[in-house]
Amino acid sequence: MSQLTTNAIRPGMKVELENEPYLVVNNEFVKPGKGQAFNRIKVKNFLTGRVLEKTFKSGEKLELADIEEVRMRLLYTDQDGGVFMHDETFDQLHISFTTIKESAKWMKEDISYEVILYKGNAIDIMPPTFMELQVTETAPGVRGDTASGRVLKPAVLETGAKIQVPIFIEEEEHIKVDTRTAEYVSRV
Amino acid sequence: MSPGFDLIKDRASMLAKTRAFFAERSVLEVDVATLIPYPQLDAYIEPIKADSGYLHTSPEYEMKKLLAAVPCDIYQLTHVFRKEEIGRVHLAEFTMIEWYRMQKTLIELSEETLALIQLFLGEKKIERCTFSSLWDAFVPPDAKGPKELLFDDYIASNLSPEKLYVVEDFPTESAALAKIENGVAKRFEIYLGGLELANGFWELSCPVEIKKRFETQNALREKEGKGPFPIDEAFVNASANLPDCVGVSVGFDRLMMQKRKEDQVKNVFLSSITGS
Repeated sequence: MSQLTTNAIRPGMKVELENEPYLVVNNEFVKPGKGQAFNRIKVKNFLTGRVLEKTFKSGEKLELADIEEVRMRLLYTDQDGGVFMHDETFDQLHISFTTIKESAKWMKEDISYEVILYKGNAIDIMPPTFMELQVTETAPGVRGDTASGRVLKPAVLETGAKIQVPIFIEEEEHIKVDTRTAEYVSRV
Repeated sequence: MSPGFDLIKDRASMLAKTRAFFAERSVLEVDVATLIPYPQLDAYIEPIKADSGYLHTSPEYEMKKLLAAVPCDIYQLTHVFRKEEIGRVHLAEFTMIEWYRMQKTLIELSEETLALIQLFLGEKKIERCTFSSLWDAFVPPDAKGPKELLFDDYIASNLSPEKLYVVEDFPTESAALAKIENGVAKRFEIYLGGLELANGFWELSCPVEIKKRFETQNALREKEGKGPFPIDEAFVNASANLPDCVGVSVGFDRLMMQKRKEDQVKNVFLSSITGS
């Protein structure tokens, strides 16, 4: 496995610490006055999402995590998860809901996802930043709500995601959503 | 006006003001070699190896050799190089102002350094303290870990970012080439909040003691698995003729960073304009 010294570690890199994969969030070089240098590296655990800060002696070597991102299309979902297919190799992969966790609410057939593999096993999926989805459930907009400053109302989308939409949006309309924040962007 | 032009003008203006500051005080500008035959010997400062020597990590050794030959007040405004020092307030190549004064005490030198710093930052509140008083005030007695991290965690984070701190009398293990008196290293550092801006010394001139300090640094290097460096004997021998003097170095780019309210020191380096 390849290694990098602390000074070459940049945000966005993936490192292996105590047998778990981490995403590097920040790397601060610390060298007060005359003395040794250290790197305080903030990392986020790919598996648990926990963020922690680790301090290393500057120049120490860190192992890069065996993390790979592949683009795969969702073929269908079943009761335990989803079956994804690689567009070029046609390899298929079943990924369970326990692995997918939060992203499950953005699962739609025939959409391409970034599947994150750790040592060859899927550990997460990333939906496209923007998705166009149908509103399946929302109360009709009531005139007068605008005047009281309430311009948003809850809605459920075809994937099951619950978000806030403007009051003029009706059931069965298609809207564009930002999956990072679960926020309404526009009508399609 | 483009932001790039503004930075060029600002740096040019501060370089000119720095030179005028020393001209008013009859301190002469020198430009000693930056490519030197022997690496500077410090366990925690790595020089960059060049084809026929090393890029200097500070102009100290060559300036002191010059002082030993011709004692006079001198300053140098130069780029220095330190391998792998890259961070929010560190650059592998940065701009240093270093000067030596013959007839001044360490306190007078710190006053002069504060005057230079305030050319960039405007007038600031100043607090004088010793290293041990800061340590006792902020570091819990049961805190464990390398002293550099304890300093960063407990002291640097507690200093007011609006104030200049002159920290004096350091532990002897971080004496570098400062004289030791009454069990403390006679040197000072100036901080703006937790940001180190200057490093001043009452200069050691005893060749035997200098050689001993170099050997200690080499032993530390070996312990760190870095391998010892050859000793610049010409520098050690010349130290015998070094006049009684004080010297200080100031980080020009960090001053520019504070002056321009930048968060990253690389933003005040001209390569930030060209993106190289």
